[in-house]
Amino acid sequence: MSYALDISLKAPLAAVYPALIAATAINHAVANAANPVVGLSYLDADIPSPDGTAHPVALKLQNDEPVYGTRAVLEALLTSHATVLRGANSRTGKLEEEWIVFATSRLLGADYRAVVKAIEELDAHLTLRTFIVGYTPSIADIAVYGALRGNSQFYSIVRKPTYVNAHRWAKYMESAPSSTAALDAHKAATDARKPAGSSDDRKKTQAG
Amino acid sequence: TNTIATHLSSTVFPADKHGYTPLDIAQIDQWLSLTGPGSLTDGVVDQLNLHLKDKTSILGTKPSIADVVCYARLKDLAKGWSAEQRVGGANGGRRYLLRWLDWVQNSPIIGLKLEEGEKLVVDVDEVGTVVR
Repeated sequence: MSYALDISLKAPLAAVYPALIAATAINHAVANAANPVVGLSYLDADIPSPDGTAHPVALKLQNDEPVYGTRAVLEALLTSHATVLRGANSRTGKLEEEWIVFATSRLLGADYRAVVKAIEELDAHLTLRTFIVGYTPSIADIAVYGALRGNSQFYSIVRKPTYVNAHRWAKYMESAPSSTAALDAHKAATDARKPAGSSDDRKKTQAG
Repeated sequence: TNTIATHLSSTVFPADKHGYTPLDIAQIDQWLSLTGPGSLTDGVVDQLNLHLKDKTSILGTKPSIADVVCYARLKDLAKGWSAEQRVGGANGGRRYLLRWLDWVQNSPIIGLKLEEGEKLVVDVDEVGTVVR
């Protein structure tokens, strides 16, 4: 296992899903699923970088400095696993890197009206495109989809057919096995932390 | 030709890999016969455009032989469409069909491996791009 992705269970889902789905897509693309390329660990706290800032995700690379935060982790994964995460047969348009910036700056932490504006632009971009970059799902799709999927208010906008192109694209992204697997794994990790808490409660009750 | 297409389908798009449901198979049959010789009219073309409005492939998200055969039957027709027919008009023309045709001819999942000269020319920025 050469890469390890730490995921905070305390962080907003929108900041976690892009990196989690990207890591899951890398693991799915590799034949030997028993030995994942990117190991996933869930932590019950935000992840501090050396300067003390709290981050939702961090990627540890073998023999290398860890990288912190959604955007840096996505960029590092794109560099290390370009064959899996780049869109095939891309001829025109913005690059994957620019869409990582779009997802992390226009969708994360933005207010409702700003996100609706970003979704309108995404919808227009997808008019004659099946995927955001090239002709296969890439890290551009994963970054944007993950950021929207993690926010129920924003995701409900693309679930409705108002923005028909974004709606069609979101349905495809939802059907991708790595999306489902990533979300299920995160839910399992969240659920696994609850029984520990409730057993503590029980001990307290017994003690009292 | 639909019989040959259906037969070839089992090797190009193996059913066990894609898990086609009986409804999927009925849809494949429907579009293979609707776009067949003698029944492919302007009405059918518009019907397929509308069908693809909220779908990536003819079946929705799964690729199938229907994508390949319908692409082959529509590609040369589409070359003759005006800008108005492609993406214009009150309801946006046949833009959903155009997006799907471009995906079929370029998708590694479909795997047609066409030369650039054999493809329908699609300008993906013809409409819609406002992303900054």
